[in-house]
Amino acid sequence: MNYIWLGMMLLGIGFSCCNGTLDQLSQAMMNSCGDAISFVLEMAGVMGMWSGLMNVAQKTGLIHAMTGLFRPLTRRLFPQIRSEETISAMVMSFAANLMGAGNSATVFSLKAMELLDRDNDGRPVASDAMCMFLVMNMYMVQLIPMTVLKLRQDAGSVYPESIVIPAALVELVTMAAAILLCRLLERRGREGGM
Amino acid sequence: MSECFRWISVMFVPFMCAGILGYGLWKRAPVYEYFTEGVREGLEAAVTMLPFLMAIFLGLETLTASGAMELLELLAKPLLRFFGIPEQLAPLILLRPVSGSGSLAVLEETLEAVGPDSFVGRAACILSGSCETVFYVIGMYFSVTSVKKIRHCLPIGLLCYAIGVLGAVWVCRIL
Repeated sequence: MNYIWLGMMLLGIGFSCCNGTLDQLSQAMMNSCGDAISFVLEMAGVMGMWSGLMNVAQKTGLIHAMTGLFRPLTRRLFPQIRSEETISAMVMSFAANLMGAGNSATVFSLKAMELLDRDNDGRPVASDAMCMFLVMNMYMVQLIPMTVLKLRQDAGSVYPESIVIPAALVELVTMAAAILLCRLLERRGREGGM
Repeated sequence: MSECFRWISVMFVPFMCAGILGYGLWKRAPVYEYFTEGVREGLEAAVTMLPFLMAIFLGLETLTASGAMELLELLAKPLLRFFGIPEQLAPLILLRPVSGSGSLAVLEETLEAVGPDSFVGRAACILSGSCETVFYVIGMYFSVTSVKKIRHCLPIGLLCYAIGVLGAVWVCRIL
């Protein structure tokens, strides 16, 4: 993470020097700090709400019932994860992503990452389950790409939905690739003594 | 059809909410207390996230605002041509990994320029769905953890990105 971030910052500043866009850059840098704050504020509300609801679901035992349903699937994908709380957060996150629920999906994903971190005992090296969850979530099939449909409609498309099925197909392929690659690389990582 | 999609998407939040609360009522649980307790945890998580998000926002913005993207575009064009990817897709392909809102703006421009039902327009739409904001997601997800070494997340993210791009173009060519 350290080097990725450093790379982005220094590359950006370096290029800006060459391009003579330093004034725009400094403007953009200041703006992005404000953006980060407003993004978190926006997210905080949604996060609070879902966190509250999930707490209800957990304490009433709904989560326990739900995770039982997904056990066979999650056991294969995340063999090391036993915690029901973690599994339910991951399942919810997948569901929200599938439905294209935007911010709610992000909230569940972050919750799941937090719990995965706890299951990983806060170690500085990402666990297999974290990587698997991240890439799966990243390339999750989205059944209803609302924003894209809206953009197509606005642009005057005759048939905005024509992309839904091909898009789902492509996404299915990328998701399968993501899962397979993740399995492959996590095995290699372990043999390499990670 | 479009109407139906919108409904499913709109229904997700209220129905989940009703389901959870209904179950609580059935179990006669102190739902209100549980809810407020959970909200507190959620807000705390939001605050812990902030420093990391600030870093990732700043990094991505620095990269996009510096004009490094335009140079990348120039470098990427021969590569894209080699794979048979239309040149008009270049800005979208390059911006998508680093900025969700930025790439949506580019998608809008692309659709207006080439028309939403053209080959390029359709490919652009599918691409926006199948390719993800890789850097942004990785930065944000790990911001809530204590992880410093992200192992194979970035290579897989980028590799699948390439698969998504190729898939989007090919599927439009076939269908």
